[in-house]
Amino acid sequence: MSRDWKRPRLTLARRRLLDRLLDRLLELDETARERELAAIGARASRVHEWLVELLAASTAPTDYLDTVFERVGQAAQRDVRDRHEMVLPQGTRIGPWRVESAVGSGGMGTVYRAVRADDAFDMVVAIKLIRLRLDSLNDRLKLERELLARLDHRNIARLIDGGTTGDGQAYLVMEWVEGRNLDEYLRVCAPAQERCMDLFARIAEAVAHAHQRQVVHGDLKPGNVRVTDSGQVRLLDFGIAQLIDGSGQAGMIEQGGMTPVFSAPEQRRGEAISTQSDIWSLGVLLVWLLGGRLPEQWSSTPAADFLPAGLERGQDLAAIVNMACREDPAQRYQSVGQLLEDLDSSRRYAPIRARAATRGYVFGRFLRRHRWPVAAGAAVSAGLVGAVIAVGWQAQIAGMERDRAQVERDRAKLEVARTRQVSDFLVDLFEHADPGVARGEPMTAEQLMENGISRARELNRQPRIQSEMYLVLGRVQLNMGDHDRARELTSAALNLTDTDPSASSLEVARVLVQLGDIRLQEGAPNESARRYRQALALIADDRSELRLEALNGLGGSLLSGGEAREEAMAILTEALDMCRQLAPASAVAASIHNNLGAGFYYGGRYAQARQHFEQAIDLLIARFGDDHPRVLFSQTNLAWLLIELARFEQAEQLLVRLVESQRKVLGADHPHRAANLHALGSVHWRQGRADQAIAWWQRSLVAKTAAYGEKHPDVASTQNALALAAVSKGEIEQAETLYQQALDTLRAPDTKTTIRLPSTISNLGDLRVVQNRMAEGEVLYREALALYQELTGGRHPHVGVAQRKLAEVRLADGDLDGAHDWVESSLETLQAVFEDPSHPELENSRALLEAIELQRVEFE
Amino acid sequence: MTSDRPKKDREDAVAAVDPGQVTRLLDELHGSPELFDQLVPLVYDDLKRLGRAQRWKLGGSVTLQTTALVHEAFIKLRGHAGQTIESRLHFQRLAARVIRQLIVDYARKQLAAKRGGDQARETFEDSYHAAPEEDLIRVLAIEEAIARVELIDSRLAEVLAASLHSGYTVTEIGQMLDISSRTVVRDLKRARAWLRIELADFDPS
Repeated sequence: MSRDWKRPRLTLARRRLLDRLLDRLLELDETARERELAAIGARASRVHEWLVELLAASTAPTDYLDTVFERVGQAAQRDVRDRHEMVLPQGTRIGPWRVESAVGSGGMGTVYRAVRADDAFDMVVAIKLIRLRLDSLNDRLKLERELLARLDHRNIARLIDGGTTGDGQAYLVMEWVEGRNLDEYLRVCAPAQERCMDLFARIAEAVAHAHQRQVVHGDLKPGNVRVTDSGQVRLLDFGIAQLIDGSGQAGMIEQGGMTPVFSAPEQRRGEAISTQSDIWSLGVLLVWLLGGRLPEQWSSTPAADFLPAGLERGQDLAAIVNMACREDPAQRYQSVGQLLEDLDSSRRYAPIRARAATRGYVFGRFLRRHRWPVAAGAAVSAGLVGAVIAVGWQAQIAGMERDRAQVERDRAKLEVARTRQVSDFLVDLFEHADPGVARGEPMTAEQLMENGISRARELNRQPRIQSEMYLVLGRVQLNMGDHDRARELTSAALNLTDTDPSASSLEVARVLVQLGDIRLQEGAPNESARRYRQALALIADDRSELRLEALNGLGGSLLSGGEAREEAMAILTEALDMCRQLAPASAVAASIHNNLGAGFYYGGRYAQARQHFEQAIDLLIARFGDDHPRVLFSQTNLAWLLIELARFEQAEQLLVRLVESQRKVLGADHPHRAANLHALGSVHWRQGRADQAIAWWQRSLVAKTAAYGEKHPDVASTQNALALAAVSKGEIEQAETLYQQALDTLRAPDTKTTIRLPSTISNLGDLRVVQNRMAEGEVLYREALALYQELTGGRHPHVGVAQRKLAEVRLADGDLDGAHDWVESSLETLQAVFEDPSHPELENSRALLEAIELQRVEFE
Repeated sequence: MTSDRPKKDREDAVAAVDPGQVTRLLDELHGSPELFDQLVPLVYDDLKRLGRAQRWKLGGSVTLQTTALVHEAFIKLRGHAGQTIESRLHFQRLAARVIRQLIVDYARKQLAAKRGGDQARETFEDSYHAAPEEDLIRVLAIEEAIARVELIDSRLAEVLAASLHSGYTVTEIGQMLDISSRTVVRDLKRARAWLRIELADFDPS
């Protein structure tokens, strides 16, 4: 050490002397030690001073020494580990695979190229041996592998296999992708901006596909993107980051698991990752792809500032990157789909979400896209429009995909920027108008619609064109959420078509189907069923998408009516069969899947329900993008199903995303959103988090009351839930009030009986049981069970739970035989519903059965 | 590390450690990862116990981390042990020295890198691995202090290092050096007193 010492250095001889003396002194008891010390002090005062100091030092605490070595020791060990990654020799067997060579080593472990060991078939794979061996990892791996295996996308390397080696190391087997890593590709091929944008779009689409299946990538970076020799993009390592992240190993990032410069801020902080984290990484990846030089570490400089100068549409790109890379995950794009939409819009000089959607900006884009002034069409002559439609109609029908126009009623306000199908329709009108005449103020979509309608009204002399116009405008009104207007226009179209002898039955049927759609959305399923049946009668032998739509509509109506589920399912199944041949990837296919899912869901057949919901979502996203109301609708169904399946984490993730998207797309008080707020409460409740559950339920109650008023079955169901929570908090009076309010609504004579009624009755029964008013409880339970059986057909978890509750009251009454019978019925019901034998409801019933049998034994 | 080695073999192997075998394997270690795999079971228990004693939270894979550690350790052991390794206890003594050296080497290397002498920080990961700089400085200061204690009495220094770097217990140190626990306690007391004196103006507390 180069510093100055306070004391003169001791010679070695002196040190040895002091050490010997110290050893002796330490062996003495205190009085003897004092005496000896004093004697030494009398002879040699310097030695005495040193000894006093050494004695004091010998008893001073030195704990810090241990902690220093613990810290440095750990760091050294990590260092050693990283420098000596074990490399498996060629020929090593991993499961059914045989290692050929190590091809790389990343944060998670070493990657090997391998082939089938048994030569059963020719297959080259990449095996990733996960470096960390976590006890929890293997369980998780099993669970998640199924999920990962469902990723089926041309731009995602497939997960083929996975497992644990004999010595307990987890591995994943992935499709082997020949080609280059993205960084190498960029270096060697130096692609132009447009090509880079294409590559990025492919990557983002793949990520969107995965997000749809609740798989987060978690480690998006150039090293995880391969470009094949034919120029295809393939993403590697999907979901692996999350796999490890979710295994409770929070220090993973610190240990080099992720790549900090591409990791979102929350990820670098070691917080849970989400789809939003991937969006952040995509933003950075975009900067990198476009030639930006990324910093070593992020400071406060926004990511977009690293974009190189001179890019085409640079301002758009900066805005897009900024929106993707917002510090707060909630402020980023809500989905990868939105990001892609913006990129696409930017390419077409359409307005983008990331830039302030001011009117000036939006219309600036609008004008630029069309290159000549298109504004108010007030002066467009009726004759001209008529001519346009007469010649352009067929093309227009073909070009304007019917299903694309089928936006839910919920999107109340359509702006030109956000509803391509509307604007395209109107733009078409304008584009054929005389540009020289079009002058004036910019207009909203609604105003443009008004013009369209008034122009259509002037087409009296051309009834066929007029009816087509009414039909299309009616469809648009339906999309805009104006049911009255939509019905009026479509009915007018029906009158015209019906009275027109030259109209084909197909044309009439099309109008009828649209009328059915409107009635169904208005909540009049009997009326809509009638319309669909009329349409089907006209096209009995037809095999068109129209027939599919009619069948699907009829099935949906019957399900909504709730009385003819079997017929509904038969019709929907027929529709699906036909759809598979006719239009397997169409929007109507999605709708059929969704309705079938709903049917299975109502019937308690959850596995089938889940399959159908997921297929519906896939199709819808491929068709409409992530945030479309129809996507949100089907996702809501899936989320609720996940709750029933006790997959709470997944359900919660999905729901949180949904309520956020719904707030933006549908508004804060929309009934669908209110329902999901309620579901979020339930997710927390089912996991024992009463306070959070109450908070969500209260938000839901506010939204529902705003949407429906105070007396509505939906409001009652949230009151029921809040009452349940009140009981758990000991607020019995509050609970009684809430139950009373809910039951008043639900038992009202004009209210249709739904599952909510027995659910509330059963909960009130719980309260009575807690209050030890067993007889009252039992009466309520029996009523609930009867209603459940009537409403569900008997094969439903609620039935099983009600039966168990009856077993519990019988048991409390000392009636072992009665209790035994009920719990056995309960198990029978639940086993029929849940495929997963470890479902908590099944476990509960099994536990009760054991308890009853135990008591029986003791009794005998 | 082949996956199909039955667990039983490993236990048998550990039970039958033959010191000569360890040495022979050591000699062949460099070129052959398979041999290395054979070696791990031989010292598996020692290392597991070592890891526990050190209270080094292994942060994940005991097997892998220990494997890496053993790998590094053996390469260093070869340097130390020009002589043959006579016994398991001898091995332990050597292992303690190796661990001490691993830590000190690491501290030196990191400090050099942090002070810019070495531009070899090629990845971001390095910065995540590093221990706090003051810890590194302290480790090196302690190393110098132990060197001075060694001049007074080499056993004193060995006892101190075994306790500090490897976290050996009094009993373990006693067995390893074939001295009584009482002697170990006496040594440790003096050694720590000297250490404090040596570090007095380094750690004014």
